[in-house]
Amino acid sequence: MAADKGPLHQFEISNLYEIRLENIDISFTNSALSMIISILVASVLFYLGSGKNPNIPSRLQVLVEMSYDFVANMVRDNVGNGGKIFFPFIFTLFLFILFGNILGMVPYNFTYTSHIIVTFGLAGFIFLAVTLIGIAKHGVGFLKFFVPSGVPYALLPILIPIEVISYFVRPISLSLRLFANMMAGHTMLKVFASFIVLLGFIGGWAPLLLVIILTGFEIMIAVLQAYVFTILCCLYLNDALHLHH
Amino acid sequence: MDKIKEITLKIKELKNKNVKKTIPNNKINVKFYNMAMNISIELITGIGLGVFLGLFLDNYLQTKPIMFIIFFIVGTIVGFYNMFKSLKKYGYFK
Repeated sequence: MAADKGPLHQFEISNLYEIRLENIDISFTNSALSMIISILVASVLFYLGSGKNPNIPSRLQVLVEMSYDFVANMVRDNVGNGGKIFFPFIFTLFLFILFGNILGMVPYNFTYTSHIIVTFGLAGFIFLAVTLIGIAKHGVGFLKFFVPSGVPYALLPILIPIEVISYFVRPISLSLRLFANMMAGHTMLKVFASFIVLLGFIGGWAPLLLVIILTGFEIMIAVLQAYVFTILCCLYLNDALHLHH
Repeated sequence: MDKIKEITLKIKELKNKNVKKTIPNNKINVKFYNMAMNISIELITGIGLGVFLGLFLDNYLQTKPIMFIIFFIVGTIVGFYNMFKSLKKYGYFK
C-alpha cells in the first residue's frame, strides 16, 4: 500500500524497460515516460487548439492563443530587441515545465521537475547557451558584464570576483528553485495525506481539508514556478544580449 | 457629543489602517511564499557553491582547511549580495 511508504517514495526512479549501452544504463524510466506524456499532452492540446476558426474560436483555441500571447509578451518585454528568434525555445521550455508541474499533480504520475538532475540539466543548458550567445555577440566585451557600474575603482577588486561567482551561482539557483518548490510541495502533500489514513474516519477530516487547500496552493505554485523559470531565462538572455547590469 | 464622534471616526480610521496591513487573500500569500523561497535560495546557493568549491580546492591542493574557510566566507558574501540584488528587484532598497 502506498501509505506504508515514506513521503519520498514518490520520487523514486524505476526502470520500465531496461536498455544498456555497453556499461552505460540508458533504461527507459518512469521519469522519461512522464516527460513523453507531458510532451504528448501539450502537443495534442496545441494541435487541436491551433487556429482553425479565426471568427468563433473554441475554448481550447482561446486557451492556446492566450498562452502563446502570454509567452510572446514575456519575451518582448524582458528580452527586448533580438529576442524574437529565441521565442520558440522559451515557449517550449515554458510548456515543458508547466505540463511537467501540472501533470505531476495527477495521482500516480511522476513529477520529473522534482528531480534536480532534470532542472539542473535545463538550467545548465540555458546558462551555457546564454554565455555563448553573450560571447558571440560582444566578444571580449562580454567581460564588462562583471564590472558593476557606478562603483568606485577601489572596490572593484572585491566586487568583480563576487560578480563572477554570483554569475556562476545562476544555474544552481535556477535549478534549485524549481526542484525545491516541487519537491517540498509534493512531500508536504504526502505527509498530510498520510495523516488522513493515520487519524482514520473521525480525525482524518482536518488533514483532508488541509490537503484540498494545499492541492490548490500547489497548482498555483506549479504555474508560478514555470513562469519564474521562464522569466529568469528571459532576463539572463536580456543580460547577455544587452549587457545590462 | 462632538468629541465622541471624533473618537469613533479616529477608531474607524485606525481599524481601516490595520486591515490594510494584513494579508487579504491567498493570491498575496503565494506571492510572498515565492519571494521568500527565491530569496532564501539565493542565500543557500551562494553558501553552497562556496563550500563546494572550498572543499574541492582543499582536496585538490591539499590545503585543508584554508580554501574551505576562504570560499565559505566568499560564498556567504555572494549569497547576501544576490539576496540584496533580488530584494532590489522586488522593490526594496530603492
